Formats: sequence, C-alpha cells, structure tokens
Amino acid sequence: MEILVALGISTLVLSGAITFMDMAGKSLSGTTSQTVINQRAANASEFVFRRVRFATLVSTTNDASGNTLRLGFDDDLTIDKDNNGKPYDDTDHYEVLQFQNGDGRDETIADNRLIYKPSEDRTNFLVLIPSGVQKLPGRKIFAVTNLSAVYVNFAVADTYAHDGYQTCDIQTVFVARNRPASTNTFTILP
Amino acid sequence: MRAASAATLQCLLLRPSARLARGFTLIEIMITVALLLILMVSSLSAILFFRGSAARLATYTAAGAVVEGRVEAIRSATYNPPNYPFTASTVTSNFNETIWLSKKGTNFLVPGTVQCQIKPVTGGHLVTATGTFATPGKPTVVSLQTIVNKFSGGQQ
Repeated sequence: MEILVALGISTLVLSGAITFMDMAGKSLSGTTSQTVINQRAANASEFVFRRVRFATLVSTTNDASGNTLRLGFDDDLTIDKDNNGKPYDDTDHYEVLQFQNGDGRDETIADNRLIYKPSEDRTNFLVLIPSGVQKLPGRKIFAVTNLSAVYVNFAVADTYAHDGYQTCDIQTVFVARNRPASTNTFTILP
Repeated sequence: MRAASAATLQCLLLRPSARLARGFTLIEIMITVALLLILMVSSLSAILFFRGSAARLATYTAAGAVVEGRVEAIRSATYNPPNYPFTASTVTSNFNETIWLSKKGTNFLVPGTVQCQIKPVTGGHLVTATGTFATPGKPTVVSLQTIVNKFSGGQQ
C-alpha cells in the first residue's frame, strides 16, 4: 500500500515536472525566436531605409509583383552625366533589393528571403533575412510612387511551428532625398 | 558488562538501516511537493514575463516603423513655408494604421492612429509623430520628433 502511494505521488510530481519543463522549453524557444525575428525585421528595414535615402533613382521597373526594388546611385558627384545641370543626380550603378521564394509559392514562408545585390550586374548578394519573409495582405513588398516614395511592407514570421507563432511586421515609407521631381511627398501619402 | 557492550554496538549498527526502512513521512513529501510547486510557479511567471517582453519589442518595432514612415514622408516634403504643410500655424493630421499580422496572415489585429503635428518654431518646423496602438492591456505609444527646415529636405 505504502509503495503504491509513494509511486502515485512520484508519478504526479514527475509528470508535473515534465509538463512544466516541456512548456518552459517551448516558451523560451518562442521568446528567443521572437527576439531574433524582431532584430531581423528591424535591421532589414533600416538597411533599406539607408539605401533608399541616398538613391538617385528608385523603381520597381519590370516587376509588377513588387518583389524587386531597383535603386540607382551617383558614383561621381563632380560629373554631370545626364547634362541636366545637377551633377549629383546621375545613375552610375544600380543596386537591387529582392524578395525571393524558393519554391515559387509565396505562401510557404520557410523558404522566403530578402536579399540585397550591391551591384545589379554581379551575382554576389547579401542575405538580409534568410527565411520567414511574409507578404502583408493586399500589399506588395516594394511599391514606388511619384518616383521617390518607397513603400516597404513585409512581415517576418517564425517557421518553427512547435513553439507557438511569432511575427513582426514592418509597414513604412522611405523617401529618396535626391529625387528627380519636386514633389510634395506628404500630400501624396494616404 | 561484555554482553551489554555487544548489545549497544548491535543497536548502533542497526540504527541506519532501521531509518531507511522507515521511509519518508507524508509531511516530508508534502513539504517537498509544495517547495517544488513554488519553484515552478515562480519560474513560470519569469518565463511569461520574458514572452511578454519579446512580444512588446515586436509591437514597438512594428509601431516604430509605421511612425518612422510618416516622419520620413514629412521630412521629405518640399519645404516652402508658408505653403502647406509648413504653414504659419500648427498643422495636425491623423492617419489610421494597423499592426500585428494575424497567424493566417490575412488581416491585422491591432488598430491605431498616428498623429502628425507640424509646428512652426525658430529655425524651421518641429514635426512630432505619435503612434498610439490599442494593444491588449496597455496601449503602445511610440513618438518621434524632428526639426524640418530648408536644409533637411534633400536636393530636388
């Protein structure tokens, strides 16, 4: 009888401890994932911000899906390449920010990533967000209005399903300072 | 005398095994379980606190991006006072925004408002963008401020 009682109490305590450790482990895993996702989303956003600000040309040319953002930069501020009287607004090289899905489907987010090509003509690229990039409902990752304002909309989600669901969404606007047209950006925003 | 010493020795030798055979009392077990429970509850609250902090950080990142976008748009507007929006009096605009993408990825869960205030000050206009989002429990407020003048709009 005493052995049975002792076994019962031990089982109770052990099952409680195991359940607790399992939940605690998943919870800590989810917390760590959330922190990593926050950092990736914010860093990528700030990276795009820095590049867009100094670009002399922003466009999503030839990409109606809004997966690619093309940025032009002036490499020599002493030469007025296009002879428009402004030596700072030429486009000597192009950089590319691109959303890529590994399997052709945007819905499977585990293989969705965001990359940056420092030169459009070269194959080298930097992976800004390696996985979990998600499109926001009804929005493109990159959208350009008025040749100057770049709308950036994306989320980064946790692809490991066992530790809950973590996400961080970025919805922002960046404006190229060397924009070609004298436009009042404030009035064109919704 | 010799027999008595032998009996005492036997008693001393048997005492540990007798203790082991007795086992733990119910009180001892209950105290152990209670201590274990206290440890678990305190650990659980710490873990929940960690989770809350990480989620709050995500909210601030999302809200910060929205507010930053508004400030950036205003900073880039053509600065030609007293033309709108850099007028001689304070201009306030409100924008409805939403953050917190749902698990299905089809909608946003937290509504909010970004209030942009452009106030004339010495040396330019003071821009204050304040985003208030109705997060569960306590609303999340993110505020950014900058000065805009004829030197801050970039080349056009």
